Amino acid sequence: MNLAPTKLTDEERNLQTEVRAFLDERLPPGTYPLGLGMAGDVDPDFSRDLAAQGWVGMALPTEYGGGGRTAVERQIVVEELLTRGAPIGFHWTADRQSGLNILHNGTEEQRRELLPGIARGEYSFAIGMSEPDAGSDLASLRSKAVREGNTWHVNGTKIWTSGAATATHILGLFRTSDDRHGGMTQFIIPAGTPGMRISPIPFIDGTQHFCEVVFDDLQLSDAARLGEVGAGWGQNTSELALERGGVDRWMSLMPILERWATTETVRDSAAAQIDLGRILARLWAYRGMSLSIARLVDAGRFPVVEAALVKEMATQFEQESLALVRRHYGRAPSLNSADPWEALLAQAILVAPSWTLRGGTTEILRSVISKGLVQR
Amino acid sequence: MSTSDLTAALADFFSATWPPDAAAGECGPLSESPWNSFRGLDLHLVGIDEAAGGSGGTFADLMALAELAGYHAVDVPVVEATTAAWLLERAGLPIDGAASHSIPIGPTNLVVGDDGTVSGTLIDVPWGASVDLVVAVDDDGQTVLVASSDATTRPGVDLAGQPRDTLVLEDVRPRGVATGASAEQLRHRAAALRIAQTAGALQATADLTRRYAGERVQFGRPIGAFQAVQAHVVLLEQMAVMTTGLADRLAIEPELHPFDVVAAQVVSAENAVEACRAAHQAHGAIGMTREYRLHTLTRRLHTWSGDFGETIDLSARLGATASQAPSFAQMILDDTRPELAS
Repeated sequence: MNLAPTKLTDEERNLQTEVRAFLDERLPPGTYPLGLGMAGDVDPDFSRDLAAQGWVGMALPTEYGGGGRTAVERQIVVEELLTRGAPIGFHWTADRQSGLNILHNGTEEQRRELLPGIARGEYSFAIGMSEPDAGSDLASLRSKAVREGNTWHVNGTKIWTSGAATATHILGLFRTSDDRHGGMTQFIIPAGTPGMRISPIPFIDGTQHFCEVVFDDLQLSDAARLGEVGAGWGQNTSELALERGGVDRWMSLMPILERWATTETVRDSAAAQIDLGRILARLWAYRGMSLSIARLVDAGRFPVVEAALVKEMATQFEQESLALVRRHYGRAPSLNSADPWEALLAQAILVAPSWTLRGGTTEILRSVISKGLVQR
Repeated sequence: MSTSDLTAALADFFSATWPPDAAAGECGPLSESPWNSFRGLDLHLVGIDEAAGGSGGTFADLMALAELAGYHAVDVPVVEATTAAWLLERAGLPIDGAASHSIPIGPTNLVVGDDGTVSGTLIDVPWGASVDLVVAVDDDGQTVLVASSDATTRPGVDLAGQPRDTLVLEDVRPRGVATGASAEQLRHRAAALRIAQTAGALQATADLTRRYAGERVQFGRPIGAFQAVQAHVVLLEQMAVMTTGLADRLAIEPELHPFDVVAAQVVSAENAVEACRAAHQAHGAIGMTREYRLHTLTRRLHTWSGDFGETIDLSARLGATASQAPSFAQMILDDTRPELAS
């Protein structure tokens, strides 16, 4: 396994400058709730404004309203958003994965209907994958879609579905036959479809983005099906690879580090500077690896194992870094603090364990890497 | 492994001279090592212009050579000899291709007196007592070339059992003195090569451990079938891929940036220590013995982790720099490097 080193071109560097200038203007510090990486606030206005710059749906082809840009260019935009803890919650999932999934697996009609809305930042997707009795083991999903003529009847429960309450669409994976892997199919379900009940599950930090979605004889026409009947497993696996590769997997802590680095605590403490330097060195190294992975994607490769390899160690290091910051903070920060940074630190302490869960647990990723090593 | 042309061309020579499945014994002086074969291929002068008496090749070629040397745990001073030659080239001093060279790893307190003689102590010079010449930077920043036979030598060994001697010079007539690279530039170049060497050794450690985990049977199945052992194998691959990526990143730069080298050093050294722990854990007791290959690699990794700067000092410099920078994130995301705090 080899991640070739790469640098940004002048054009890419210009894009970085443009994005910074836009965000300086659009998101001055203190005017928005700071978020931790992809768990940023849901703000449809911001998503639309960002999209108006051409920075949502960047990887989608121009003929469907997308930017026709590269994975590296998308990473550049994402890095700047994550650094500021921007309110990206509304468009995040659609931008990163649902759009590409529809592009690759959808019908021409689905592409024309959905992709432009995603690229305008108007559509928000939630991924209905996990179920109460199936976490990482998607093959044991039980929610069913049963066909009657041209109509599918959907029944079952999805859980831990981020953003379902505010999404315009749910992209769900359902069992369409008993075949363990070959018996699953994806469907696109517009919000408000009768027969769907969405209930937020209070998250550990008190937020309400996490949802339970219950389907009670929800009816869908066959036009809502994404991809072939039984192709859902493969589509979903590909999607997970898209989910794992990027910097969004390990840049959650950036808004905290961005501020902590120049606090008096750090300026006055040799011990804190040593920890800060160590964090800096390692994040610099991970960033190089993520950039190399983005280049592989642009070269038409599918670096599933490489992505897992980086995500597994980088997310663990994020948690370690938070522990270091916390140690220098000196007391338990409060979620209700008037200082938004302190509140964010408190939130990070509570949610950090999720960083090594979402997109595949540490243990599952190790198994992916391990199998990948055997095959090489 | 690197795909450099040089690497491919040298693969057979390295495999024959330093077989990847052999456990190395303790090293002796240079005369008892394959140095002459190594020098016979002009590998000790890679990365030095032919016009200056070198073998030609780019810095990237030299980094690939160091990586290969790390992979095969070679017992000759590859990094030291080539860095010494580079110092001479930078100072415009003649390079004697027939001679063997080394540099000090530890602190020096070299002073050139008014009478032109040199005095001081060179600490931790790999193969210092058995190379012909040693190149160091004195307290005034001048490049000084001395013959080891002119020094009083105190023998020492590094953690890998390789010679790491101390040379005491008292009013010695130097073989050359000239202005060239700074002590800081010397450290960065040598550190970059050490990172490449570390990357090679990490690849070898990962390969060895993966193979062992596939062959060694316990409780009725290969230990690699146990998730807990897989975790060690995965971690080793991560450390190897990551460190190789760091070395490759340094190799493609037209000139080394202090920020990059220092950051890479911190990560590389930490990776080496993590990898040693995981490799020994996966191997169990066999890996702790000297008849088995693993120690040849892990002892080198431990030695190199502290060369050309300890991680605590390097981290402190990075942290001090970051605490003054306008943006922490931009230090990671930008190509324009900040000046490092001293």
